[in-house]
Amino acid sequence: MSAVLGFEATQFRSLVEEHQRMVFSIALRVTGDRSVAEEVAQDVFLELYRSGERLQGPDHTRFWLRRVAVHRATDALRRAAHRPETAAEEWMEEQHSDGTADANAITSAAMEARLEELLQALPETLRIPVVLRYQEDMLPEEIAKLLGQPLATVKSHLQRGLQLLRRKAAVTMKEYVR
Amino acid sequence: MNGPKYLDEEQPDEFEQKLTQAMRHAVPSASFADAVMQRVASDVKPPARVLPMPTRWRTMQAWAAGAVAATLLVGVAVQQMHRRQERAQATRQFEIATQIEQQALDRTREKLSRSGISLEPR
Repeated sequence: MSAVLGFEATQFRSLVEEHQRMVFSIALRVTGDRSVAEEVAQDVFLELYRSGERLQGPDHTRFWLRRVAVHRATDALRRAAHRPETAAEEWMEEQHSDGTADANAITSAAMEARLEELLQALPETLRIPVVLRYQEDMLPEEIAKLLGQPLATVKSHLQRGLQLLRRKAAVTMKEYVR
Repeated sequence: MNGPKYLDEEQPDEFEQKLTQAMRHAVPSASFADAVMQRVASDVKPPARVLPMPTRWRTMQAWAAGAVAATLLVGVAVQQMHRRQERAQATRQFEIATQIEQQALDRTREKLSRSGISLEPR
């Protein structure tokens, strides 16, 4: 496996380690399931390896990985056809697993877990652009290119997604959101 | 909470900042990279050349069936060709016999004619 399809093994491992959090996070927030997200993220890297994709620099690498991660995660979500409700709680438990968190950290973690829950409650068409916008800090133009959708559609989905999150947060997170 | 603002404003508002903070990258399991590399390694192994028994048996069965079918086809074709040849030979023999008979009749008719006997109806 020293050099197959244009990748050296060590070079490929570095690429995996550099981008694993990004790919995993996209898969996790689209599918809402850690184990499914791990599998999807592995599939994405395996697909990259098999395709022998000629990546032209870091931007192209990120673009390719994000695009394939979104598509594969969406496929997995449709296959599973269920919406797990425990993801946010799992993340919250992980944050407090050492038992040393102070009151402020707990409050912040609770708020973040609640936001994750609200995000998971968004419809898929609104959730994906929101994930790309706020997790990946992508501009609407970049999201439109990645999803192959018109810019106006992406902007509309972002507005509606954010609006829904704000409304739900205003009702259920009064103590955290002003 | 007066609706989305990020598209019109350069600076995200407080809610968007909290959302960005909540949506920071999650960490996969510690063995994630190892798992990917294992899958990559198993993916590039050359496919096994030795077929499992059931597959080999099925392959042999398919070959045998093909061979039997081919043999039958050749046999039928040879038989048909043989019959055609026999028919053609019989036709030739019949034509020769007819010619010989016609010649004999002609000679007899000529002899009778010379003797003054006519076989023609009056």
